Amino acid sequence: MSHAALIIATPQGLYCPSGDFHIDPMGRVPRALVTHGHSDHAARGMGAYLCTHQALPVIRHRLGRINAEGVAYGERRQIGEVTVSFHPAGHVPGSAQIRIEHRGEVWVNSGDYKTAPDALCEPFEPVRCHTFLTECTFGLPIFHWQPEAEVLAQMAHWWQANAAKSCASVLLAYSFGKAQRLMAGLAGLGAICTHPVVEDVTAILRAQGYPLPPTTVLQGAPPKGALVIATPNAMATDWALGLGPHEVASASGWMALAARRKGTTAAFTLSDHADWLGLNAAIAATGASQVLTMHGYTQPFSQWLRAKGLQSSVIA
Amino acid sequence: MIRFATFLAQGTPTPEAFAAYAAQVGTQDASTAQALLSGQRPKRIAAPQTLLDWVAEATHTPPFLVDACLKVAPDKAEVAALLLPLPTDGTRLTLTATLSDLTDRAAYLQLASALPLPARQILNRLASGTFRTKLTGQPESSQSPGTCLAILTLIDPSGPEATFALPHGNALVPLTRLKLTLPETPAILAWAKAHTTDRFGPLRQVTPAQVFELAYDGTTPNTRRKSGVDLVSPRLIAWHPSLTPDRATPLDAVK
Ligand SMILES: [Zn+2]
Ligand SMILES: [Zn+2]
Repeated sequence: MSHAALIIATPQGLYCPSGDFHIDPMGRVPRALVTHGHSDHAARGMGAYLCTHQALPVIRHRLGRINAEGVAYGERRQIGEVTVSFHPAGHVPGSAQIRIEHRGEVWVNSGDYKTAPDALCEPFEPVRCHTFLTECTFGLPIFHWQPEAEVLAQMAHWWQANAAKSCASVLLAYSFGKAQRLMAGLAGLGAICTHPVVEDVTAILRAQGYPLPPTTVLQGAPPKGALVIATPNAMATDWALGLGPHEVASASGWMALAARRKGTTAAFTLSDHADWLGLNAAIAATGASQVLTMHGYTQPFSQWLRAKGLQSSVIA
Repeated sequence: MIRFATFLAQGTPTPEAFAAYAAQVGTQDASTAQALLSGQRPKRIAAPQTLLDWVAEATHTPPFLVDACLKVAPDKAEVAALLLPLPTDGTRLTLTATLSDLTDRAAYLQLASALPLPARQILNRLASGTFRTKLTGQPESSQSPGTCLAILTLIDPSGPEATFALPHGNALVPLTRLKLTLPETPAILAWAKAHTTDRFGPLRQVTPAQVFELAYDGTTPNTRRKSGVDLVSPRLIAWHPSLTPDRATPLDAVK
């Protein structure tokens, strides 16, 4: 017997008709289940929000006054005719995959995910399902990530070489997730300073109990040889004028591509998303017979999955 | 091979950076690199498209996925490098050994699979005849300041002055003569006294074992010198007692 779709695409975002809620909607809706606090997933204007306890503080910080509730990982909630639960996605602190069950049929929306563990966020857990909605930000076979420890060692080396020249090392990273993953991974090697935008999020996560090293919010010149973690935008502001002698590097999965590295003096390939092998392994671990693709190289990735014998199409 | 890639990753290669690289890898790789950077190319074994075909076949990547990758990274040699999974254990092959092994499809796939990404990308450029990097300030006299690691060969304790030489093939070729101005001069003289192998008047020939770092503001060709080159404003920077003579900069890297 075939089941009706538990998740469909609507103009506001992905929607679960049997539960009457949206997942990570961008258009205004009465009820939103949110996978994590990145702005392409958590938007303002929803009647009510549901996310993990761990994701909630950053979401509140970013969205202001909202009607929001937290759930524990694995906690089962009845919403309409379906049972929902949130499971670790390994992407950023608090990030979740959302599992939806309706009369024995199980669908999982991956949100953004990363299969390899890091020093900070709740590690990815595969969830068995019939249909898996997978992101595919790096869903092409040219994306292979080095182990995190190797990339962190390269960063530490770069930092030490700059410090030897009395230069500060400015590492550019997204303010929520990547920035904290870097400071956790490079803890204990020297003074770490932050741009105020990074510090705000860091303070929230530190208060939640995530293991983050002490950091100093930077006003003016950093101490000699310090590591400064900032957003790419920060470098275009007056804040950057006070940095003194410094070297800049970017940390992102996109740095795998020569075209993206152009114009940077140093670049580190470090992503909060699964690479090609990670995506394929995660999909296999769900046991899903149908895989719907979203966010990224949706067309070729879906065609690849069909070639492997799965039912697959692009959902968003 | 990995060191060569690391050296190239530092940006446009200067003679100074080359000297530091040469000091790490020893004379054989340094002269291979020197040849590559002065425009000598190894024999091309395949066009970039062919490399990509080999890798796609070896990794069972269907044509539609290769096409999708080329939309993201249009350089075929780059996609060929990125498609292979990363090695779990790095290779220790030298640049010279890599180039001599690089003969056909099987050798290429084996070499490429064992290299981390930056080195693999260099390999692809070498294999496909698209390696274009040149050392700045080459065949003409050089205005670019540089440093080199030279070996102490002769000493005149009355100066005190010393002659420094660089390896060229199996020989040591005198490069320049400098006043000993380092704070370690007494220790250097004491070492020289204990390691004198011959005397010519006040000059003592010593065991070629001690490595010194020299800096200069440029080079000028001089055919009357055995080295073929004069250093502009040479000066003594440091004594490196921990370095062995095989770390010295090859003469070709300074010229
Ligand atoms: Zn995200
Ligand atoms: Zn996202």
